[in-house]
Amino acid sequence: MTNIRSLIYVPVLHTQKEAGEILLSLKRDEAGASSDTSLVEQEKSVKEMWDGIHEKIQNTNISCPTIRIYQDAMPVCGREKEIAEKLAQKASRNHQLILELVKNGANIEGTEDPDLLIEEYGNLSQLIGKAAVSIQSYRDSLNEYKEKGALLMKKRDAFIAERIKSTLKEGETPLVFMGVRHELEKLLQSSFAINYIIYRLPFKKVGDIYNV
Amino acid sequence: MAVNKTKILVIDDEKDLCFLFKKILTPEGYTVLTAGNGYDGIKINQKSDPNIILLDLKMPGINGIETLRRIRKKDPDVIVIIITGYGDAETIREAEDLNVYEYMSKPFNNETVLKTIKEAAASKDKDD
Repeated sequence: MTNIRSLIYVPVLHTQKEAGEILLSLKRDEAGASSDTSLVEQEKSVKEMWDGIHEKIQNTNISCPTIRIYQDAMPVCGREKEIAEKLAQKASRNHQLILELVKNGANIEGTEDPDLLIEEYGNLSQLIGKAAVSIQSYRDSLNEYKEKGALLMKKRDAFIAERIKSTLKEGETPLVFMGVRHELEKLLQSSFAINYIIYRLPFKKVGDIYNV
Repeated sequence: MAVNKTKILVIDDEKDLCFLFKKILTPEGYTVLTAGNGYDGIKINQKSDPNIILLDLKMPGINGIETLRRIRKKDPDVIVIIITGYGDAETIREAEDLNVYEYMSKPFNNETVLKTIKEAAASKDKDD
């Protein structure tokens, strides 16, 4: 009988600001922070989500040194910890949690193909540029963005799945933080027994770039 | 949506949980209806037109996602909050595609559920 390894999968929502900063960090650029009330509300909801995830991870009693962390939009670049530190300083609860786990002995792994992330950044920037023209122009461009995004997501997921399989060491458990639109689990379920950690996903409060 | 006019339909095969929701929501002024499976939930939704549905995913007969798919055909706007002990990535995507307000896992904190319901009801007020 084959002994199938266990994988912890945490589906997450990002705030629009957070998603922007993840991509922007790769470009060494500054994200435009908004003081819009809805963004404040979004961040509050996402913070609550992360507080719940934090508690649930603690309750698993898994030993940190046996955890290898894979994070949505974390490029393979050799500066993974530095990126997590920068984003944690910008109050990303996601990255604050990663740093806490790393401090307790967990390893963080470069997860995504940087070229694919830059492509995603380009598509997103183009879409955001349309929003600067008018909401109608933004809506008109959404379908094109969605089509390109779906193809790109498949490539990103394929890369991530291979990355997990090739970097995971004997005795380690992968802890995967992934945005809810990824379909990564489909590529992993034949190799791993997937255990989900879900606290709450406040879809309507956080919204997404499609719902404008 | 004033609390005392808000009707909540709980669709869950766990009788204890339906009872718990009645116990925590009724004193807050909500009218609580319950259904023990998806088929009954769809019927009660059509007949009673609730403002908010609390929906379990794993139920005998049709599951929560299929129940929601059928509800959405006739009722695209009702606020739906998924409360489940058996979530996975695929059902999360399906739930989001079916315009779910929030996806929560069991066991849950009563205060969090109550707060989410209040926020959901208030968001409906804003939309109206």
